Amino acid sequence: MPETREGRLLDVRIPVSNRPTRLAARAIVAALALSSAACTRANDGVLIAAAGNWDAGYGEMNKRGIDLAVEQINSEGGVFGRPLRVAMRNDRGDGARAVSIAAEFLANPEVVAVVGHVNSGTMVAAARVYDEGLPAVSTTASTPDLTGISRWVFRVISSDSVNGLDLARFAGAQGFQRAAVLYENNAYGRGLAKSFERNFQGTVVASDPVPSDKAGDFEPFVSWLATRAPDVVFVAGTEASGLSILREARRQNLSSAFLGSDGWTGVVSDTALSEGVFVGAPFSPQDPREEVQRFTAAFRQRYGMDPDGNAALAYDATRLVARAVADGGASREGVRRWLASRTRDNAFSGVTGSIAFQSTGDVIGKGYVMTRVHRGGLVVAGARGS
Amino acid sequence: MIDRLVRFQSIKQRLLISFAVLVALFCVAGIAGRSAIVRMSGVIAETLESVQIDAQLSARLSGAVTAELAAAQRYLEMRDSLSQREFHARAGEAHGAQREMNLLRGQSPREVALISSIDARLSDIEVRYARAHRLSDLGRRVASMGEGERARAGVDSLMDDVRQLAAIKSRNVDAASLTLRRDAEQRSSWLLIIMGASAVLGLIVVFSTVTWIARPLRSLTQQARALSAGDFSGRVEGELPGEFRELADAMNSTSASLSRVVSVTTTTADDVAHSARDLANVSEQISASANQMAASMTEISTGAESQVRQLRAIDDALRAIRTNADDVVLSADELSALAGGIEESARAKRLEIARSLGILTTVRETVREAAHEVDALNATAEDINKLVASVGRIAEQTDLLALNAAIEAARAGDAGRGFGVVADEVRKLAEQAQGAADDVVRLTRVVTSRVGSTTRAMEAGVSQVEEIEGVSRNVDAALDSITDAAGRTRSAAGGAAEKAERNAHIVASAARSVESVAKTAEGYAAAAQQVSASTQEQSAACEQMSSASTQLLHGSVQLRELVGALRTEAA
Repeated sequence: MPETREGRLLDVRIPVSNRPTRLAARAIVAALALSSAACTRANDGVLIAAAGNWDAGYGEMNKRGIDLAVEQINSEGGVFGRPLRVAMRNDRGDGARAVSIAAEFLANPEVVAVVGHVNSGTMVAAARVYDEGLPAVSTTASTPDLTGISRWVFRVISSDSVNGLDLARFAGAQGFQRAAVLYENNAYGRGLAKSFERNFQGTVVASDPVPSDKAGDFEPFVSWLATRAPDVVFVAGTEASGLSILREARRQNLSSAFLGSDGWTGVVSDTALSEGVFVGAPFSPQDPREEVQRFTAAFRQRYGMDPDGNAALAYDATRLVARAVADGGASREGVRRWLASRTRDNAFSGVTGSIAFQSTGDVIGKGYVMTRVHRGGLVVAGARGS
Repeated sequence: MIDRLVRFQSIKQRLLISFAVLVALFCVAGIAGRSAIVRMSGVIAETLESVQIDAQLSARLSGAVTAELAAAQRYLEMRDSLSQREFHARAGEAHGAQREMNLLRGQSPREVALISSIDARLSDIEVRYARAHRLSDLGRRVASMGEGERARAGVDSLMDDVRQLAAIKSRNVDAASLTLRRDAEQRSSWLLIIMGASAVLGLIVVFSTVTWIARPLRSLTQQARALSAGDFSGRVEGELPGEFRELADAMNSTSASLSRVVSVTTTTADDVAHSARDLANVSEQISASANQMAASMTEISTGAESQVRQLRAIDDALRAIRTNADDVVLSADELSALAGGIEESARAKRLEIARSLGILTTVRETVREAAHEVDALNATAEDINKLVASVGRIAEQTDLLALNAAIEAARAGDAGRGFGVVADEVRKLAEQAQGAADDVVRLTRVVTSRVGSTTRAMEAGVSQVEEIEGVSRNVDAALDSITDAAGRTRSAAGGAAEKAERNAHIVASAARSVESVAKTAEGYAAAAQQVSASTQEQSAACEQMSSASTQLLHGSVQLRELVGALRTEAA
């Protein structure tokens, strides 16, 4: 998920980084942890926390996924027969806010694990706090900077460096020889473009930074692409710039195919423009697997709409954390150990694929579902990558 | 001061503990100093490293931005691919440096905001240059120049941000060095305080130890002087170091024991005088009672001798009893042997009777078999009778036929004369046959009657044999009970012998006891005579003691006069 779609990392000064405060925080946490068993027993239910940018569209979808998972878990009898409760906090995509929310979670001995955060930037900032000893499973933070940042931090979305590889392989498999790359000039776009260019087997005929908002002037870039006539145009960005680029390409009758990453799942909102576009997504509601169809049906019934990758990843992360609490024990260390011991052999089966972790906290070999837009829907076009 | 805090047992202990505390304090000061220096150097290294990384990143960022923008501008003017590649490479470098700065810990919000702003401005400028490059590539020179201008317009504010960030970084270096200096000063002053405290504590230890030793030494000297002057009443009191405590205790106990000796001697002399008088009286009394005792002893001696005589008589009686008991044993043995003989012969008889019973049974069986044979003989006799009867009937018929034939022959006349002779002969034969048959019947009757009497005789024999058998069985049972009785008699005789022997033993030991009692009584008689003799000797000794106690009385009076000159605690 892009780092800078909405909020920008404004303040990553982390209060717990100065030594006396950190020691004091540790002491408090240790003291609270001693009494935590009694506290959790006294209260009703098992408490986990969730944080993300609920204001943005993708954040809203994240929240829906979390809510649906919690409702299902509780209707199935909860965790240890006790209801699962979630403390929801809105970090508004802001790094400083994310850090203070993380510190609040860390200080509350009842909280055994965190679902989130949603954005790459907020997750990088908050990871410093979770490193003090609270397991956190990010839903959609895909930046390579998160790889190995802390033994307490995990994520269910694959890293951009892996996603770039998947997309490049898919483009090769589709028979595209000449590729042009347009990337939003931010951390997300640059990282993904770099990974794609490094892994694409054919020729990269152009690689240009483009504005990350829909109001930018895309005409010269598209005109130049028209002169180069690539087989495929890979756009590393979001639907914000994506729809403008597609509009300009249609206007100039550019015949190249278009390929986008998970940031592009929103282009389906313009049915006409997006027809035939390839999108690599962590999830597709058209995925015929039974659990996916069950989840999609439940989501539709609950919200009256199809789930997207954001909702599916958040749903998976929540169910994963609940299972970690149930199987690993209602302690932070127990949850962390359970998560870290997920391998290919005992992977957790989610709607976005089976989830197992590397020692860096990155999810193992999950990859994308390659889809193609058809009549405003993402239709599965290729097998899950990696 | 220290004494109030800790109670020491000895000077050695006090000195050891005090110096150990001093050494420990200096060690603590040394370790604290060393660790302060080590931590200090760690902090310095850490600070320097972070400052260095900061500065390097900052330099990398500003260098890359400058080079990138220069390359972008160059491409716009010359459109060479080298510049294009450099533009891309430098952009990657600049963003890399910016991302690393973003990931650094402990940055101020201002720094983060600046980095963020640099990223945004740089990204924007890059997009504009890229657009200008593409316009230029498309041959739209004017538009390209315009876009290039717009890109350059942003460069100033970008470079301003970069400069500001560099300024902040250099201020951070200053602040870091100031902090380090303050930290060093603080640590060194703490170190000085610890050293000073150690020195002061050392002085206190030395001073208090010296006074602690000097005070008790003075009072000990005074005590020694008093002792030499013959004054035993003084004592060294109060808290003293262990070594002095021992000395003071020794001196105190010397005073105490000397004064105790004086007072004890005085009272002893008094007591001795008193006792000497009592002793003289007592010895006279003893002399009198000894004489009485000698008289009593003589009486005891006489009594003991008569006791011995009586005991001898008892011993004789006991010997007679023992002899009788031996006789009883002998008779019981004989009885036992006799009973054994009876038992043995009874057993032999029983065997013989059993044998004769066997023979009787055989006889009975034989007689029964003979009776059966006789019965069979009876049956045969009847069969013979039946046969003879049929012979008789044949003879009668034959006779009748012969008669008829004679009649016919007679009727025939001459012709029948021959035949009449034959018929006559046949009649004679028939008559003979009849006569023989009658003989046989007679004989068989005789046989049958003899067989009947034999059968009866045999039945009588069987019943007699059975009677004999019954008698034999009764004899056997009687013999059995005899054997039994003989056995019981034997064991009873054995028991009687054993008891008699035990009695003999008891009587013997009683005789021994009587013997020893008699001997003891003889001893008593002798001892009583000796006691009587020694009591008379004691009486003589008492008179000597009486004269010695008079001399003792003189001595004690002299001793008391001597001791009266010494001064004691009690005096």
